[in-house]
Amino acid sequence: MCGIVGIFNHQPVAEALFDSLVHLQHRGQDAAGILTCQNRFYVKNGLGLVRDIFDKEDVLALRGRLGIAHTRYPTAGGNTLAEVQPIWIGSPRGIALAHNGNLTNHHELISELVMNQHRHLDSTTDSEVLLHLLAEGLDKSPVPEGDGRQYFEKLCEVVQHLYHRVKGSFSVVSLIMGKGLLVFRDPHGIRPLVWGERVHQDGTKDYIFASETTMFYALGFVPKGDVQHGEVVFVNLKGEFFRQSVRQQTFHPCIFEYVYFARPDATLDDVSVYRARARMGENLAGLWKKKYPHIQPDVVIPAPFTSNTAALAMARALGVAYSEGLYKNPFIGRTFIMSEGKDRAQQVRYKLTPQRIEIQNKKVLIVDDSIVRGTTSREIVKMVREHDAQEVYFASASPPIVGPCFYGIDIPSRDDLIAAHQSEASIKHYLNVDALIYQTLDDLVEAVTRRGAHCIEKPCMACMDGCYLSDSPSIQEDKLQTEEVI
Amino acid sequence: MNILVIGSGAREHAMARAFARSEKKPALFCCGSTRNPGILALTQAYWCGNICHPDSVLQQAQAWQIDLAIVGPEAPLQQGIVDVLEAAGIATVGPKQALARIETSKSFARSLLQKYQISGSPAFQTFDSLDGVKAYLNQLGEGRYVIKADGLMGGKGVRVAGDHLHSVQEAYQFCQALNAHQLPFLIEEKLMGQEFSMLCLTDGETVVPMPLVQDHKRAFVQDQGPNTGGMGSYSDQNHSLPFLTSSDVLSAYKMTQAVLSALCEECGEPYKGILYGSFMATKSGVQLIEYNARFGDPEAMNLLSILESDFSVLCQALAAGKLARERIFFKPLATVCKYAVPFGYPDQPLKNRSLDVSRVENPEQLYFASVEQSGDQLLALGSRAVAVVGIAPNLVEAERLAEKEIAQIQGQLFHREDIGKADFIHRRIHMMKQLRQKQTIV
Repeated sequence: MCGIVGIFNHQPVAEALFDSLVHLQHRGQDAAGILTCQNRFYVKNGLGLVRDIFDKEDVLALRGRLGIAHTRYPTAGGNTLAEVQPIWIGSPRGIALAHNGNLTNHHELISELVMNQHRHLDSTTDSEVLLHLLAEGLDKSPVPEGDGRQYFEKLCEVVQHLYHRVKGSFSVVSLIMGKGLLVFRDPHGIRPLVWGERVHQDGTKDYIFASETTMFYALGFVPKGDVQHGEVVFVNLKGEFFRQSVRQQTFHPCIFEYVYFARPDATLDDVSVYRARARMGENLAGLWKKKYPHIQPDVVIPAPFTSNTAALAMARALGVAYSEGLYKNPFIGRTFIMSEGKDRAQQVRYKLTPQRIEIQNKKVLIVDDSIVRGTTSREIVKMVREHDAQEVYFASASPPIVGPCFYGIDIPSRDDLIAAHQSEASIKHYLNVDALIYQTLDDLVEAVTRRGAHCIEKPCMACMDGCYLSDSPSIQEDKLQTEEVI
Repeated sequence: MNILVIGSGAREHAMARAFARSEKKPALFCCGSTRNPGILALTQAYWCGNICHPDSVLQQAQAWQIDLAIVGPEAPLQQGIVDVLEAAGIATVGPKQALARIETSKSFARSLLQKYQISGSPAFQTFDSLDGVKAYLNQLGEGRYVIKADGLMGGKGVRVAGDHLHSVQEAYQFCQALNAHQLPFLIEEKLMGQEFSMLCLTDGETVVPMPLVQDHKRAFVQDQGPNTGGMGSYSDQNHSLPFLTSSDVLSAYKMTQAVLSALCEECGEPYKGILYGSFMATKSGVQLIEYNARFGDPEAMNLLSILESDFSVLCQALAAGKLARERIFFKPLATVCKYAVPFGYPDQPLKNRSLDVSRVENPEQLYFASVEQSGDQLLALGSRAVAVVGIAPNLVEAERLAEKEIAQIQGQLFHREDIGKADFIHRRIHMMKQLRQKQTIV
């Protein structure tokens, strides 16, 4: 999982990219990079949080009006600069790229590229594959002069070819030296990609493309919707804007963005993440009343922060108090403990502080966005019990997570997923709670799709219902791949 | 530009030809251990002597004002020829002595992979005495071990259970023989599967694989008989091999990248030259057999005969550490290389017998190895004599071409008819399929 942004500006762009990364920080705290272009590429990247990587001088040194940037989610053993994006190549022409998603046939593609093209590729990551496929496409056949309509059509042809070869999820922002900003999203639209514009008094426009709308307000951009699945967008140096859909397949945006990953104030595919989460809470309350009509909790406490919205809505619908009985230090960031591999249970205690006064002698309903391994949930329950709750209940805003994700969400392999191996009754026992509910698949889809002019036929929820896209790798291969990805 | 080729086999003949095709029109020179008539015809000057004596080679190189040198065989690498030439300011394609240990010391290679936690090596132990040898052989189990002398043995230092060694007792005797010569050795787990060669051009940072090749070590058809330097080899038009999956290819490439960065860290400088990985595709993935620090012979003929890019430009860039700038192209064609070798090869070859290659239709794909011109006739000196390469859009046609040409060579020679033949390759595909299926059931 990662956050990406690309901006076409009339002023130097670096500062806006930096601000954007701060607003995409939740999508990746492991590493970040900014790349701008003015006759050549200017690059700065590093490990850690955005504010720790860039200082003022770094940002000022990044010249040009066009740029792209990236925040990286932690990957196993990936604590190196080797895989930091944006990545770029200088020949045959300068192309730079940042990517959010995960390619499921990258083995095949890397082998093809290194064996047929005899190119050097970093064999440990899939991002270079996209860069080289783009380069190959622009390299192979004659490319029209200029950067107008004809050039855009050529780009569409190149990306269309790429769509046919690449499987998996990919939202991409890319810079082509001397030409402009190229943006595209995979034909299933699995990972989000939104865009906006900022109109100057003289009528000229700046454009932004990003994983989420979170920075639009701060930077004065007006949301214009989404880059569609299978669509190609290009802004040339003159600021001419081109878009065309070149290969649409069934639209399957990732439902986990709404459950957990995106910032609640984002709007993705015309669905407000905040409202979606609120509706998840409402639906959970409905289910609670049906399943446990005789149990009325005294207080609803979210496992902060992602489940706050759902917990608030659930409390409201149940007519009980909402309490931040588990407080999370907002400045905790990424802890050292995390990288040193101490167990997850200890990490929870480091991040969350239970408030005795909100818990003692109460029947506490804990709401979390999901139960993945079960270890974190179990620890939270233990903490709440240690503070003398009378009874403890647990509600998960998402259905049981039963399978790995091959499209870029950091869900562990099946072996580690508690719901893949245990029944609800035994999970209840494991968590040591007096009552447990999971959102149903239908209720979750309803919560996400109830409002908005979206055209979501069916979100991708393979991790919950096991319906992987037809072009997914087989389960055998998957095991191999997840081991590498996660 | 003056280019020096060090070595005088068919591999070096292929290199000289690749240089001769260059648009840079370099002047070619050779330091060899025999007078290879093919190379002789392409060079301005030719020195015949001990190429494992770096100072003698340097003297020649300086006399000829060489700008760029390339080392064919491994023995001069072990003697530090690259260190000597580079110290004298001559750009050289080939690793320095310390880096060449990836080939010249089997124990260095295995330990390096172990130290840098690069996966894909079979179980192994090194020995410098007979202590524990029997126990380790028994631990691996009858028929499941390989014994390798720890040093350059010209391909004769390896004995494989089942093929050459028929009991733990025989294996132990071989170890005794090595020990009697005070040679340290390794005992490794025997790998089951299909071998393939991935040769990469590298300046230590940029690693570019060339088309994959399968070599055939055994002397006789159906992989029977003693090990040789290589009886022939083939490569496919898609630059992969028909029995490999993309994961296999990627594993081999990953391992090579990891080994190159480990080498750089270990030796404090980058490996520049050709790194030739010999791999086994097994039921549980790709395993490393060994690395070589130079072009393979016969693989060099398969590869250089379809190289489209300018070899002299590539070598210059490589030696300068600027390989990243170059685009490297190989023709999308299949190749089959076959060696004609003297009767009795490799154990008791006929020596200095005449041969006649005048009926070969395309002398451009005829490569001279262990032959010399003597008056008006060619003599096969006793090792592999001449190789031919068939090049075509598919393997069947390439094999047919190679077979047709090699049949035109007259002399007391033999070759392997099966290399590159469709049924032979199909058996290999089938074998891999069965191996992989077993894995799935388990």
